Amino acid sequence: MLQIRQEQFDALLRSHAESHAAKIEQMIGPSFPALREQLGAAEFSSLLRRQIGRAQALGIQELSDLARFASIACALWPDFEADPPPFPWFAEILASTELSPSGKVARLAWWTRQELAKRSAMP
Amino acid sequence: MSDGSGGGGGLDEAERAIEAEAAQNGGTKVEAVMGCRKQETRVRIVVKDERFRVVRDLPYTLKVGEEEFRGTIDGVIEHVIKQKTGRGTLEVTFGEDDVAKWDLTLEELDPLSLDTGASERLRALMPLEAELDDEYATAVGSLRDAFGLEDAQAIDSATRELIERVYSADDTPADELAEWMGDGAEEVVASAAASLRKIELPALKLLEEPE
Repeated sequence: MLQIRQEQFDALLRSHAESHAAKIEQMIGPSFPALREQLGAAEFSSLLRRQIGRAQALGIQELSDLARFASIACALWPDFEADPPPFPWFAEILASTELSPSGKVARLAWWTRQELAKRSAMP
Repeated sequence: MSDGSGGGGGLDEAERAIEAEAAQNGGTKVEAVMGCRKQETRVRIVVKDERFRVVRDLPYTLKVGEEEFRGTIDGVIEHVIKQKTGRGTLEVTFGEDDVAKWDLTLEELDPLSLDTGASERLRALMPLEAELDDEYATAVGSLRDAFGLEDAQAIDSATRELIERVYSADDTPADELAEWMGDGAEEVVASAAASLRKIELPALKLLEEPE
């Protein structure tokens, strides 16, 4: 019987997570050139990985959902990294027991657009 | 941050990249995330005149996505649409060369248990006009009064029950629908309507079909 030790399993998980992170960065990185330039490539990568880890800790697992969560973090940076973020809807949506992980990310994206529209309308 | 300015240009671009990637891999998650499963939504729209009376006997055309409905207003315009999200228009013919048109957005609502969901439902009961921000905000405040809300944050269980009752009613007469606006809201919107034709209309409600 083949047994996978915990260390090997952890290494597999890390490899899987890194593969996800690299793919997501390739996917959404070009959409945020100003943020990447401001932070620098290394910190931008680090930001994405932090947010992907944060999303996974919240139960979000699908690649597209993780990518959306990371792109929301970029769009609302640096507020999205605050603990808690200064948006009343953020904790409320994530705490919902009625929404699926995909539903939560979809709602976060919708409210993010409202927030960005509100900011752009401010003088 | 310039990437996020202008209403989320970076976010939109990222979304396109995510959709493209998901489409390459079968596209199933995009369908789920974007709420495009083939489910139905009941749309109910009340059209009112400048004195806030419910409009009747006027021809209308409701378009949402690929679907188009034509008819004559009999109090409430009500149709079941075979999609959960999308964009559309409502055209009402008031007379020859007098056709009013409104853009509609069909969105899934957050659960009523969330404050965001309750707020969305309250807003969906308000007139569609978005340009008149001050009047709109005042009218929303009046509607909150009608619902017994003291301030914007105070959505209690009694209010949720009231909203649920409003949204679950499937046989309410149009005149009663109009009453949900509350007297205060009527005065505010009606006074704005005196100078602006566009504020005459309508309250929009999006009701999810029961499972």
